Amino acid sequence: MTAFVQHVLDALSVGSTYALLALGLTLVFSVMNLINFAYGLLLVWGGYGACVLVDAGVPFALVVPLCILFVTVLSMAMGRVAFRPFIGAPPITLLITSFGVLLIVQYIAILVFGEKPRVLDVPGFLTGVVTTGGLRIPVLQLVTIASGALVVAAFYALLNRTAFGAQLRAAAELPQTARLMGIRPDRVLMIAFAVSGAIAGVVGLLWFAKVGAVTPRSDLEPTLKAFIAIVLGGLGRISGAMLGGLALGAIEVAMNIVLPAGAITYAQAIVFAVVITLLVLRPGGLSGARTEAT
Amino acid sequence: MTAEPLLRVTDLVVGYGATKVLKGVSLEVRRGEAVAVLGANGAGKSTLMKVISGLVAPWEGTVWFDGADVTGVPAEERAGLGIALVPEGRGIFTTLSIEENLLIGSTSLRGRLSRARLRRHNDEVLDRVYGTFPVLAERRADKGSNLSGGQQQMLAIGRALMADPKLLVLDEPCLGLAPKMGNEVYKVLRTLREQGQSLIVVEESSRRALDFVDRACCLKLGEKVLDGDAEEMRADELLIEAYFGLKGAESP
Repeated sequence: MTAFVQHVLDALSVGSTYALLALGLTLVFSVMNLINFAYGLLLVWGGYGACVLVDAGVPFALVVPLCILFVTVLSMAMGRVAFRPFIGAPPITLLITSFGVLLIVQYIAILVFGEKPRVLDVPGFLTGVVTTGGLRIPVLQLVTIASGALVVAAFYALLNRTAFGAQLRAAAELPQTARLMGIRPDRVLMIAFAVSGAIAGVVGLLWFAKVGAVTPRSDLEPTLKAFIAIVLGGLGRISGAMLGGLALGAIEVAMNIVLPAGAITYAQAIVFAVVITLLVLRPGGLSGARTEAT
Repeated sequence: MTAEPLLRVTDLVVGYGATKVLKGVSLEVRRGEAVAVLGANGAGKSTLMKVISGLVAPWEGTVWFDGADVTGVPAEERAGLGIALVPEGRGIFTTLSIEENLLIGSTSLRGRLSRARLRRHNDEVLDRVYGTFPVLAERRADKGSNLSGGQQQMLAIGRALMADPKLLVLDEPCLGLAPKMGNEVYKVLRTLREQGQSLIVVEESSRRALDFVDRACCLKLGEKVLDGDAEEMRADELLIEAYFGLKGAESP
């Protein structure tokens, strides 16, 4: 039983990180049909921001909001400069733009910070372990699960309890009709980039606190995991993104448990195989709809 | 009525890609007037409405509204000027509740009214809309997708009224509705007209529209082939048959 609870916590921790990643990526996709390959770079810049601030002696309690703010602003700048001019452009144009942004932002990171990993020193309490009822739970794991729950709750409140949330849902569903109501697509897009950036700021801190170091190419794994999660959950659906993230986390943890020691090296490949099998069975993703409503 | 028309569309040439859809169409709507735009499928009616509402930019020609040239003004700003389009197919936001659908109709007033005034405005117009369409009041928390086609049309009209538009544009409001429900829609439109609402109604071939409006025009393959007083048209069965193919009969 203890082992089972431990595995559930592991799955929740990994899954909530993926769910948040997928949430940020899906949000922008839903209002612009943009698959932002540069999304993982926001995490990287957030990680570097944290390194710089920690090294400068800024207290960690301040590093967290400053990093989230920094990544939010960076995301909005990315949206304003690189994507807003392409509202309504064909998906292939957005895809190419997104690759261009990825390369530019990555090479700026290489120029500024170099290729070598930069260590992120997190406060000691985050690396600690809580022991209770036979369970050994890393504090960072608890922080990750709690942050995931908090961000999702805040996101849902924003989406379902505010006028902006209604505008965002309207613009995502029927963009032209939304314009007829006076909803400005550029404003919706910028707010989507802001929220997406804030989420990337949180995930960036959690991700690099766990990994321990940042490189300019650290974006690949989180971006890839976010893509798998959103495809697994059902592209373009907010609930699907979170479901996909949690499912991916559960599959990864399950693979690590059930695979024999010799096969662990191939765990990632097997995870992909499981995801592909699921998609063959449910092409619309886990969140249900077999055909898109719009 | 004043001399200055509320809407004046002049010599519109509009197309998609290399295809010309409207070939020099002009149209006027005076304040308090109801105008029908009739024509067969592919005549360019919906494109004309999209140009009027700002969703499509014309290649040539101008759109004047309420004394100002709005040709280059995008749809999201035109809504704030007082043009409300009820689009073909109704355009209900299925992920939003009925009340959210209605409230989103007044988005164009944000920034123009203070928060308190907007809240008061929304409360007043919501009451009015719910009074006109009691079924929407009963189901205000339901998702828009749960309504029947006719109820969705009521919702779309109610949503357009939330911004107190100077001009209400309805693109095929009875499309896909049972005749009885279509009559209900026209009953509401008649009430709005009596209250002085300026409106344009687009229909493929409806005698009902002709009976309802002050003036009507007919589009054929992107050109205006007829424009005149509705009363005179109603009296001329031969003309109705020639242009609208109605043979004087009711068409749902």
